[in-house]
Amino acid sequence: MHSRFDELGRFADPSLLILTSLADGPKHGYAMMTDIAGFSSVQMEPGTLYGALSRLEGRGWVRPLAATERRRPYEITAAGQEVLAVQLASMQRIVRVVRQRTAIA
Amino acid sequence: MTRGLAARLCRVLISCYPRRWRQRYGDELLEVLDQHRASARTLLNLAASAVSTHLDPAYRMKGLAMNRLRRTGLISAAVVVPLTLIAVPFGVFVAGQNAKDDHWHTGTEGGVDAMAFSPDQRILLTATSGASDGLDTLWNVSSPAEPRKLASFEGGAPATLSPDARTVVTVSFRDQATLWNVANPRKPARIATLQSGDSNLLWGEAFSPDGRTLAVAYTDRLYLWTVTNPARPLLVRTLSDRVTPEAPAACGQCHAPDPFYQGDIAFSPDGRLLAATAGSDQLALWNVADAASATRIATVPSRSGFIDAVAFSPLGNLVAAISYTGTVTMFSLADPARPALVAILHTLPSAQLGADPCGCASALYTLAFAPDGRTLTAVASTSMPPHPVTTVTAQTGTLPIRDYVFVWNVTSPRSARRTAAYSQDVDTGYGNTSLPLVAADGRTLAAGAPFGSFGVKLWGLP
Repeated sequence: MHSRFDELGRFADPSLLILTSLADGPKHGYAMMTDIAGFSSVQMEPGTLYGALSRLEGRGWVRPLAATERRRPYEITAAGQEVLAVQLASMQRIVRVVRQRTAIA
Repeated sequence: MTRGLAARLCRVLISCYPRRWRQRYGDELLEVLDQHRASARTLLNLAASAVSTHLDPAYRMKGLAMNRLRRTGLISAAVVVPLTLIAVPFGVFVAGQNAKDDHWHTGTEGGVDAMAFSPDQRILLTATSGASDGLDTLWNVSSPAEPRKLASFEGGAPATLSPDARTVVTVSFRDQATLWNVANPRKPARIATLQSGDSNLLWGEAFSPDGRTLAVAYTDRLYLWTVTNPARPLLVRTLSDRVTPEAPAACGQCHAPDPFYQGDIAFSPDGRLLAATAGSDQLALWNVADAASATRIATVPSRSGFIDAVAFSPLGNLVAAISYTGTVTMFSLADPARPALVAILHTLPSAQLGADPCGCASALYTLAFAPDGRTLTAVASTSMPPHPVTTVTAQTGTLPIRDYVFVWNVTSPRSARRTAAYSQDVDTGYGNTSLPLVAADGRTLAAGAPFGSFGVKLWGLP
């Protein structure tokens, strides 16, 4: 089940969180960190955030918007949404299997 | 590590990223680092990320690349190695401090201004002092005899825990409510500040039972926020026709309580009603079934002065209020728009609560129904010695703090009868009264003031 997403290597997990964070609208770096901490309890460090963000931008999955002073918001692109949907489907498959095999509701 | 040193090291590490990357992301990253509290982990993470960016094909350089990478490696090592050498003993020191801190005190000289239990009573939140110098502490109290400190953070009072115990609301320097993610109670993280724009004093906070709404009370306004996503709180209603609490008329030489600090606010168990102290002696009821169109439906007098604490029966049929003179008034909510007075219950005569002859007791009160709604418990915590003054210790000026506990059977509210009354001395060192708290099980009382080797204690109620 190899996908383009897996090519992100150790940045795959942070990237998934970033794409999820951007799914409901553009956010700048610190807003992403607080949002991610809010919905996933993952305290992402700035190094990891920007490591993943530069790779996502390189793949055209997020797009930078005009910066106000030093804050630059990012938005998810159509390609990014597509990747997120594929990952979501893959996770749903895994959840289904886990449920079947462990009888976790 | 000081913040200044961490910030300087962050800048050094950013200079180790590939130039092209730095030109594109450097400023943004610095902006984020300015807002983020940099720790040793942040620095290690930046160093690792700088090395990994050099290995990224998009930024990998040719020719001089290896020299540059070598230089980055050397600078990273020059930063990381001493840092590790400093951080490891420091970490041991911090761990040692934490072990000592497991003593049951919250770390400031003031009394505890707010407490809250998680629904399972495994976690207790204590908050001391206000917005500028406050400290909030989370305790693991699953073994009440051996409470363990989980974490402290710069909040203040008022403060409370969400029903799912994943969020704490405190107060910021500018008197705005601040939300903290405490899903991992050892690592509280600030997630949002609720900018109401109100510059008055924030005196009360309450989560609705479903945790979706947060009520924040200021001097003359109530704000209802939707906090379904705590990272993005949404102001849905401002209730401004609230009666401004006024200080009760001074009586003789006694000091009237500060209504702004001692007011109370509570949601009904079904989340459809909100009760808040109002005026000099009133209880206001708001219909908040739909927060966006919340309206006041009733205002009832306490008949005995400013209200200190409010509680709804878990059955939803009663609301009770205790005034600063120690009198409980209980209202039937058969028709919430017309609350009917069903009982007036008295605690100890005011003189025994350390009050002066005109009835101004110097006590803090709390009120709670048992989960089955059959009993009502009131606790009065007073630092005033019984008249005449005999117990002041010359050397320390210590006053005894005594908690008086009263329990009524309210199965038939109109003929409520007292079933227990007793007192216990609380050793609080410097005589700071603290707001006591009865846990949701109706059987556990948290009380005390934090100083020296002692702080909050948990008592089993009979």
